[in-house]
Amino acid sequence: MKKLVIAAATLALGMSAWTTRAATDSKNFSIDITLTAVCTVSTPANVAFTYTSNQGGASTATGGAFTVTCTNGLGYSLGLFEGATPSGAGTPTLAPAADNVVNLSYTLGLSATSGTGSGAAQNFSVTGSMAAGQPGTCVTAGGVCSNAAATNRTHTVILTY
Amino acid sequence: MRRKRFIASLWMAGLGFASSCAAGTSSSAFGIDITLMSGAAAASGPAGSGVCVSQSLSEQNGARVRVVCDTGDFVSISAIPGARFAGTHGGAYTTYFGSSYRGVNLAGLGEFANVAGTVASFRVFGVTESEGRLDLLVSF
Repeated sequence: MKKLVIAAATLALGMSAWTTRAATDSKNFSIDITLTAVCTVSTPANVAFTYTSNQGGASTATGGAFTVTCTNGLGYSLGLFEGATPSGAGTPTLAPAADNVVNLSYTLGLSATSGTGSGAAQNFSVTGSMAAGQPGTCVTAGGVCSNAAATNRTHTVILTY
Repeated sequence: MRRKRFIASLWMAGLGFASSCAAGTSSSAFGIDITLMSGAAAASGPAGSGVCVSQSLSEQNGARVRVVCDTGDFVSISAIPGARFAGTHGGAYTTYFGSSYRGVNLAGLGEFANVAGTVASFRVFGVTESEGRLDLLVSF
């Protein structure tokens, strides 16, 4: 009798399980992604000039390398601004006032003024040129002067996207 | 009425497009480093750097001497504006007129004031004494 009860119970459980697997239901769902496209610009290396007073040819600057990292496919433009407090989109070239320590004038430009983001860092540089025939100002004994104390030696690269 | 609404919607759409085209800006400041070489540093600078300055003559006797090398070759010798131009650099100006005369120092006798541009002059002393020597001073 006891065996019969156990067998009946087992059968009932088995049927119950079979009934549960008898039908399925499914629902689709979507993935919503909101991507905010952004661009960032790294800090350019300082633009460096070495100039000999009254030299016969123009001087070309070294340094000025920086990178732009933008969302893939996002277009952007680059500009320069005189000073450390930028406004607007800047300009492709810049002719700041003469350095207020060594009294030498120079012009700045960009290796390119626009691009399209690839998701990876893209290389650019600030270019610089100093015209020939400038005497400059240098009162240091030995004749080598630096503009480290100049208050107008900082400029800004602006990325607009 | 419909036309006005259509135009308004077009304007709004355009505004939205412009906004999405200029979504933001990013900026970074950078510095300008300038090393200026002049005077002795320029004269001893690397080959091809452009300028050589004569330190031996420059402004010692009222003359400004500038020698530019490489890219703009020229030599410029001129009086400093407004300064006296002595032109007595170099040379031996003491002449001995024989055993019966003492040495005569002629240095510093020639002098020009307020000249402009390149100057060339000479002084001639005709000596009729025993040896009849002639001293010639050329200055610039």
